[in-house]
Amino acid sequence: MHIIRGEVDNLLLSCAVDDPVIIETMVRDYRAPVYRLALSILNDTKDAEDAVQDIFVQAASALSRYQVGTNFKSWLYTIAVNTCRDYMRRRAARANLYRAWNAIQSFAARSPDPEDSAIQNESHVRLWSLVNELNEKQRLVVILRLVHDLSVSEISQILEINEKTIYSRLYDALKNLRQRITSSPEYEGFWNEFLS
Amino acid sequence: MSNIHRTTIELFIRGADQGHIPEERRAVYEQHLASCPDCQFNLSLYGKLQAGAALVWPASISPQRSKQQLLDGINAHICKKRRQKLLF
Repeated sequence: MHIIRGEVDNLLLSCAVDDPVIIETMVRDYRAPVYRLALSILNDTKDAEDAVQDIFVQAASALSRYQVGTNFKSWLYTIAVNTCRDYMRRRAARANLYRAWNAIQSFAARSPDPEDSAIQNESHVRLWSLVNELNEKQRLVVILRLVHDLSVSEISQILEINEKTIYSRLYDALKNLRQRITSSPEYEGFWNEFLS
Repeated sequence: MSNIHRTTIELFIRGADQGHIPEERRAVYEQHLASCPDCQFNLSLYGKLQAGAALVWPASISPQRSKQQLLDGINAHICKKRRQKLLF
């Protein structure tokens, strides 16, 4: 097996599992990517902040079960995705869609170059709002692949499904998006130009 | 993956992960892609999603909660767990 060792792995080899320095290193190195992951799945800054705290609490409590060298990032992301799924299940689907739209709108508003890229941003925001309407299985795979730039083998490890299923879900997601776009009345104008 | 459209996407994504599409499959992939508007659309969509991800989900977004607050929360939780262990 290919051994992958990061700083947390090295600390786990040299310190006791409950040494605070391990938790501090884990939080320092992974807080931003884990927050981005939670935010991209939950589409709500408050929920994402709460989820991040829960994710690190769970990770800290489960550190003794992590096997050094087996890819700490994937292990942590597995906890993160499962925690976010729990959060999603707690929310009503209608409220979720409403918040997702608001969150995406607010990200677009934070663009550093709003005037020059407004039209382009709007197109991207509209496309990603369609992603948010996909079912959970397809949406998670698209987010992990395209927002978090994870390889198919990493996604496979995180979601605990085989690689063929990942490819299949990505294809189904694209097909679904294509159907939504081409059935949209504005396709001939807006989408045609954007996707060309 | 039963059809050529699925295989085309799979080869494209696998190629992106591994840095290349295997030589023996590249010809089939390129030939199909050149003549299939659906696959062209899919790959264009994939590219737009990839380009838009960085705009819609900026890497610089950071939680309002500070690192110290986060660490305090985690330490408080672990201390609570330890106390529970001691009690039971």
